[in-house]
Parts: sequence; structure tokens; C-alpha cells
Amino acid sequence: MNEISNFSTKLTSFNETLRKFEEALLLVRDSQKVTTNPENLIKIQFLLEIIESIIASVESRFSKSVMIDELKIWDTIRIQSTGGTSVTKNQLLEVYKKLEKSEIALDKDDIIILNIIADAIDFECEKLFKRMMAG
Amino acid sequence: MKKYLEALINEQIIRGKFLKTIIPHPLRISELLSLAERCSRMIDEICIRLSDLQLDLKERSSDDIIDIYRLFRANLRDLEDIEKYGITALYHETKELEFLNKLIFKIHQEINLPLNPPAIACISTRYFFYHSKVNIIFSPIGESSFLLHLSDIFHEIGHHVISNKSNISKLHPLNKKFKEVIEYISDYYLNLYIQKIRETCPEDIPQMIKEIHSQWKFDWINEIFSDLFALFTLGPAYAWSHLHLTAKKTTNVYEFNPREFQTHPADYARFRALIIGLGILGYDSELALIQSKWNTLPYCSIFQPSPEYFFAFPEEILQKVTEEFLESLQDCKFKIVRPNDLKNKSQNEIVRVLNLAWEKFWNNSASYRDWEEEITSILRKNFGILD
Repeated sequence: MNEISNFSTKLTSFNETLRKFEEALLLVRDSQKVTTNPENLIKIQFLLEIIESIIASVESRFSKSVMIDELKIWDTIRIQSTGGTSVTKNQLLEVYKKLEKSEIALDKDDIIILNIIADAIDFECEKLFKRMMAG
Repeated sequence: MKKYLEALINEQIIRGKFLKTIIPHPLRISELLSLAERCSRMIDEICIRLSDLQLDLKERSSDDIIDIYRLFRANLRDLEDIEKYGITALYHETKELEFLNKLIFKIHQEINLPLNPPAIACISTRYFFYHSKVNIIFSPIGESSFLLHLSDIFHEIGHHVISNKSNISKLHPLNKKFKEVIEYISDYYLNLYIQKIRETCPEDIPQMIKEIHSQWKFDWINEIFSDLFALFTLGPAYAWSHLHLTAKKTTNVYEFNPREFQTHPADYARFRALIIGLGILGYDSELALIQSKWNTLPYCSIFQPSPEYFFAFPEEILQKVTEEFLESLQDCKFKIVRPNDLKNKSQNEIVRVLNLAWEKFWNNSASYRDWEEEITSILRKNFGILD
């Protein structure tokens, strides 16, 4: 009957997602440092999974991933981005396509949208944390 | 901001080091040693991560530190979590806590839990709950003197199992099943969504279906699993406990408001899963009795489920989830309590005692307390706890 169990479980999981996302973002933000070794490919795959779940949410495809609450993340991204829903969706699709082809040379806009995703995950974690601490 | 962030990180490293010094040693209750060790290890890990951030920060320009700032906040959340829920729990080494920690150790043996049991702390002001970061079940302080709601500890152990399903190899069948169940639920709501779009339904219905799917995936599946885990490893006592709590606390057993986020499924949906589970295990007479008691609850007759309720908690999903989770718990070698197993259990087993408590309560609720006091006293003596 107590909500703290849910909040703490989700927070632990989403905080971990944020850490892994940041690690992968750190890798792709400097394309000159990137080599496509297995470890880096795992990190890129992780980015792809997160972006795919958000795109699935935008396209009403009911993602099966549980790494982030993509419905809430997309709500936050939509509010944060200046270009409007379709522009933001296209930015997500573009960065997804590049990473899918292991094309690591991301441009400034790609990094901006990845940072917006990271901000949204952080925001969701902070909301869960506050609700948990209020309990 | 760069200098300020450096100072913020440093402040938290100092706080982490300080928190380690206030972890009480020596501890009186041996069952808390692993909690103290875990808190200490997690603080060390946070301090290392924060020190790494300090190093990264040195190489960055002031306009390029947002990721370090986010990671700082993630570590800060972890540290506050450990302070509020982990270390505080270590400061209340009461007899109630000693009893419940010995009790959960015995339960973990009885149900064949393939990992260490969580610790229990008696400082909850809001009923039972499990905190996954610090790995503690929080209980109200008075609960250790009563038996009827101790069944809820099994539900919280269910949350503990979920939290560890991907990192304990013996729980991998469950981890796999969880993914399959989420796939099933996702496909169910995708099909419903497509159907409603084709029917040109009112415009708020598709969004509601998306939100229901999200709540199942992140919240309701965990609650239903934890209920079923408790039912399958403890038996009817858990279903009675759910009914009892519903009778005391719930105002609308069909609660579902599409405009409001709710962490728990409606009580009637949880009850339905338990009834399905009792039926599968073969508790036919108990099922009939629990169902008849439920039907007499005033809030069951006053309210009617809304049309949206049936979108949120379809019988088809409850049936499927119950069957699948039972199979996965069997695959993980948990001891499932069927009617014959329960009859053959000795009076010393907690699973038997908690079920017997409900039999005694329904046979004669007036004299029940005398029996309960006697049994809790015997349990305490058996655990070497003197009043």
C-alpha cells in the first residue's frame, strides 16, 4: 500500500540508466576519440535503445523497454525543445540513424538532443526522488 | 559555475566520509552487519565516483560541464538515500527489529530464497515498504507484536526479488519471464490502441491506453508480482491479509482515474489476481470463503467499476500474469505452498504460523489475541529474544 517501494525501485533503475547514458554520451561527444571496439559498441547500443524507446513512444508503438519511462521522458523533451514536436522527432530519428550505422561523427545538434534526453532522465529521477523523500 | 560545482562535489565527498563515521559499531544485532557493510561500501563507491568527477571537471571549460553536473546530482541522490533510509535504520536496534530480522532470516530459509534476505527496520510511519537501494524492508514499530499483517513481509520480499532478478543467476528464469510478460502486456495494449483508433473513439482514450501501458510496465506489474509471490510462497494468509487491509483502508476497491497516476493497481484487480492464484494452487474452500467475505465489504457493493477500470485491469492480463509468474517461481525453485504442503508443515514454521493465525482469527476473533500473544512470545523465545 506504500508508494515508496515503487519510487525507490524506479529511481534506482533510472539513476543507473542516467549513468550509463552519460558514459555513452561522453564517448560520442568527441568523435575523434571513438574507436569501434566491443566496449564502445555496447555503449552505442545503449544509446540506440534509449532513443528507440522514445521514438516508439512518439510513434505510439508501445515500447517494451523498461530502462526509462519513455512517455514521461518524451513529455519533458517536448517541453524543453524549442523546435516543436516534429522537429524534435526528426532530430531523434537523425541521431538514431547515425548511431545505427556506427557513424560516430555526430554534429553539434546531435549532441544537443542527446543532452536534452539526459536532462529529461535527470529531471524524472529528481521527481521520483522528491516523491520518495516526501514519503 | 565550474568552481562552484567543484566546491559542491567536495562538500559531498566530505559528507560521505562523515556518514561512514556515524555508522554505528559495534552493532548489537548481528543481522544488521551486512546492512552496515553495504552502506559503507556504497558510500565508498559514491566518493570514488565524485572524485572522478572532480578530475573530469578540471579538464573542462565552464560552458561544458552539464553532464558532470547531472552526474553530481545522481550521486547526491544516492548519498541522501543511504543517509535517510540506510544509516538511520542502523540507529534503532530495538527488540522489535531483532525479532523481525530473525523472522525474515527464517522465512528466507523456508521459502528457499536464492539470495540474502533484506534487512528489516522498524521505523516506517507508512505501513510496510521496501527500499531497493539500501535493501531494507521498513515496518511500523508495533507490527512485530501482531501476526495478521506480517504476511505483508512476503509481499515486500517480492519487491526484493524483482530488484535482484537480473543480477542473481538463480533468478534468471524470472527475469526472462518478466520480459515476456511485459511483451505480452505491450502487445495487448498496442492492439487495443489500434482497435480504438479504428473505431474513432473519443480522443482521450488513446492517450489513456498509453498511460495504462506505462503504469503496468513500471508499477503495476511489480505490485501484482509481489502479491502473487506472497500468495505462492505463503498461501492463503496473504490473500486474507490483503482483504483485511482493504477493509481497513480502501474507499473504492475499483479505484482507477485515467487522469491520475497510481502506483498500485486497484484493490479489486489485486484481489482478482489472488483469487486466480488460489484457484490454480487448489485452495478451493479458502477461495470460496475469501470471496464470500470480500463480497460483504461495504465498499464492494457501494461502488461499481468505471468503464475505464476494464481497460486498466482486464481479466485476461490478470489470468496470464498469474499463470506465468507461478511458472517462473517454480523454475527458480522457490517453495510453492500448495494445500497439502501447508497441512504437512510443522508448527514451528512461519508459513504455517501465519496461516494458522487467520484460521484462529476467523474461528473466534474475541479470543484470538490471547493466542496471538502466546505465539509471538514463543517465537521470540525460539529466536533467543527475551522480553
